[in-house]
Amino acid sequence: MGIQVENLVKTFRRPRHREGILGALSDLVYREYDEKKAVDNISFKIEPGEVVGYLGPNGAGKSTTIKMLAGILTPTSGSIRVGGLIPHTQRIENTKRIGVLFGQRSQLWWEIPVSESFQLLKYMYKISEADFRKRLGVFEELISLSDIYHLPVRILSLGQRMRAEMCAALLHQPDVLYLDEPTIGLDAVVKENIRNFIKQTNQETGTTVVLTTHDMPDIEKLCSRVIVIDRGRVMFDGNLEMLKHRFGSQNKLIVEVEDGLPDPQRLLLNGADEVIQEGRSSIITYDRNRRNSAGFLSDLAQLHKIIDFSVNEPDIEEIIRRMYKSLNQSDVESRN
Amino acid sequence: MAWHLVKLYSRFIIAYIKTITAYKPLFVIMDVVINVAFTLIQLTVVWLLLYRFEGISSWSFYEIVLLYNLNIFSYSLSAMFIWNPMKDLQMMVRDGSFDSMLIKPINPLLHMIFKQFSHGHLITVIFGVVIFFKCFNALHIEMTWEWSIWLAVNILGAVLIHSAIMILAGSISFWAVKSDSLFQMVIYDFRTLTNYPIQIYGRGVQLLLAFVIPYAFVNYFPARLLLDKEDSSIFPNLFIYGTPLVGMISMGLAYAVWRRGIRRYESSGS
Amino acid sequence: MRIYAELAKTAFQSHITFRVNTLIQLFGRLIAVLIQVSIWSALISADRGMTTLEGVVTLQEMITYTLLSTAITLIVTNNMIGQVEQKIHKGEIATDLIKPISFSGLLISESVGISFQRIIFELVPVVLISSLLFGIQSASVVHLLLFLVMVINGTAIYFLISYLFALTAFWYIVSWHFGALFYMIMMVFSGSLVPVWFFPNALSTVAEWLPFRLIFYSPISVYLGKVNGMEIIWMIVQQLIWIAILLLVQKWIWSRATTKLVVQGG
Repeated sequence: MGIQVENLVKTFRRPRHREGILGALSDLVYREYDEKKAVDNISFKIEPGEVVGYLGPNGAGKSTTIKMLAGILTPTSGSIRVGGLIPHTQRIENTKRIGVLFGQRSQLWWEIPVSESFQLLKYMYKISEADFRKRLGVFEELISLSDIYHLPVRILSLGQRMRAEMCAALLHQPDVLYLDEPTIGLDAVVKENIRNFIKQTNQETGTTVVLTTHDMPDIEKLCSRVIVIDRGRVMFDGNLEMLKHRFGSQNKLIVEVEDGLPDPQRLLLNGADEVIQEGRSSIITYDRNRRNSAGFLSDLAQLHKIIDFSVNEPDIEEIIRRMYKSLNQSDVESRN
Repeated sequence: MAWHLVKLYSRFIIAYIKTITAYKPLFVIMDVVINVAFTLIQLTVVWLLLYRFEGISSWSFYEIVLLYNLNIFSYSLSAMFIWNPMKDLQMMVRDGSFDSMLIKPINPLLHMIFKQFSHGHLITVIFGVVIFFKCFNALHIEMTWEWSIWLAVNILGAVLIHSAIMILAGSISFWAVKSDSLFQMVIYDFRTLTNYPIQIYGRGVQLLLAFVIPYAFVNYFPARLLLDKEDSSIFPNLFIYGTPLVGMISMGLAYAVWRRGIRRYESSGS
Repeated sequence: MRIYAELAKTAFQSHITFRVNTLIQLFGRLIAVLIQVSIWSALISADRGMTTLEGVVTLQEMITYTLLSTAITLIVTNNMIGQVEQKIHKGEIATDLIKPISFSGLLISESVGISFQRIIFELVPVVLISSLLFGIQSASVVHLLLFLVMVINGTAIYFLISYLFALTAFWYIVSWHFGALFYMIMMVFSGSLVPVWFFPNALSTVAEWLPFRLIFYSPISVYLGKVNGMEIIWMIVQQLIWIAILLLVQKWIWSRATTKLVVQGG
């Protein structure tokens, strides 16, 4: 089931509260509002079966978009189609086909065992007994559920709870899965389990997945495509390779020479973007598209004896950090 | 559709019973004690008030008990389902957990009603039945068919009125950040006004209880109908038949406001 | 002593922040007063009054009784049971116990702070508005002073009793049950709603043996000039005896409570 978003805008109006008792009284009579565009003219199209990372700094409008996709929020303007349905007007119909997981918020009933919660969901989504059994079989195989199945949610650890939450969100076999920070606060092993679970669910049932995350391995492992937004606008939309190409062309060359440290000025003149010297090693950052490591090394070899060197390509975390940084810079520039 | 909801609700009830029997049996017993004690003590106060007096403006002790019980019985019947959801609503809207009501394939109000149950109010309901029969006995009321139907219809109307008022008071949360004291005032303070026959109050209060917050239709007018009682309130006699109608109108209004509240939540996110 | 004053100040300030709420609560109080006054007006003939064993009680006296009872409720009652329950439930009790101040001192300071807030924002307006609407009877200076002394003693009695109930939270976790039960029984036997004059004989004997009437009924009777001389002194002595008894019981239960501390969660 695909998702189409066109010219989506969401503006929040927040009443401005005035100070003191007089202010409170005048707020009752006449309110002033602050307007904030949380989502500012966003368009994208997601094909069925895609796994899309929806990224951006805090407050960029990620959650607002997800909430509109899920039908919780009504757009100010623009249109959303999820498998042909308009989420906020056909909300109940839409909920049957989507699974939602908000990382920090439980969808399960706190006091009762996981099994009871699943029974409730079974009746709520009208899942047949046969389908229900089959789903449980699949969950058991992919993420193992039996160890926590009869425990009340309140005594589960965060990792155990997230396993249960994931299964709860997928119990009715949704066509689209929205995940808001699914791995936040989890330890490495559980994170890996959750990622595998998402990946396999996507591969086996063709579920479309949209996830927001700050965890870069999530993106690397799961997302064939990323959409990056900032201040409510789409800044980048494409696959990971393109993202790496655009923001990840800066390599790092780490060199150690025998006699002290090389002259940083000379390296900068040769086209390095940045030189950092720590202890005996120099970290030379350069743009892969313009320079190469061999050039720097042969130049250094004329004056020093090289003991050791390595070349690091930027990881995704670095890329995203650099991208956010460049977003901020261009913002400063455009303001000036 | 309806059958599906019945099955779903019974599932919720099973889950609820399992929870309270699993680790709170002592609390449930104490809840029983407290709720019975609460009704008994309220009635004791009425009894003490009337011990040295003939009655409150032509209403005898048992007539006032009936009046009181019509109120508390229909309130508890309604509160069993609606009190918890409306009390929790403020918190859920504020911290955004109301979101989870909007991503399930079931009406949000029904979902909120289903996911909780208030056994405390159920106890008051059961005890209320006992008090009803005690009153009928003491007042020598002959429970004819016609009379029993009037009783049932009026209780139903009263339940609708209570539910409507609770939903309206709860829905304030969609607009105001902190609304719990207003909720308290409407649900508790105003309701206690009708524990006594309303003609002991001035004109303004009587009008308020009939037209603004229609608690008078919960017990005062039905009690007059059921007791076949002439009285000196300022309203035309026809009002004693009004409860079912007022119930339906208030519920319609409340649901419309609730819907508007949800739409507001959908557009503001809080 | 400084620290307790600071604690009281903090409690006071944190409660005045929601002013609209205070306004609504005030309105709720006025409704409660209106109900009581309306009932008494319906019950007691305005010109002849009501004859009891203690003599004639007039409507004006009953209206005054209602207003004073409301005022005392606002001064003495507190939400200590709920607060202690919260502290234990959230595990705050552990940090409270390691502070270099006594636990009861902490609770006293907090409830004094809250009481001050309620006196200023609820009691004064409620009494002012209701006296304007319904009228209040004045008392002689001596009776007024005795009334105030007895209310202060009554506050101590109420505080100590609710403190005992609050301490049940150490054993029972959810102590609001006991708190609610205590409050209901107190409201009846203290004469806060119906004065003990109107009680049947058997119940007035029960009320006689309980401390609750010393919080509401006795001070108001003194204000209204219904009791005199030796009787007043005897009432105050009774108050002091109850305070002494409750202090001893409190000490004993507190020592057992701390040894049986169940800190929830953590």
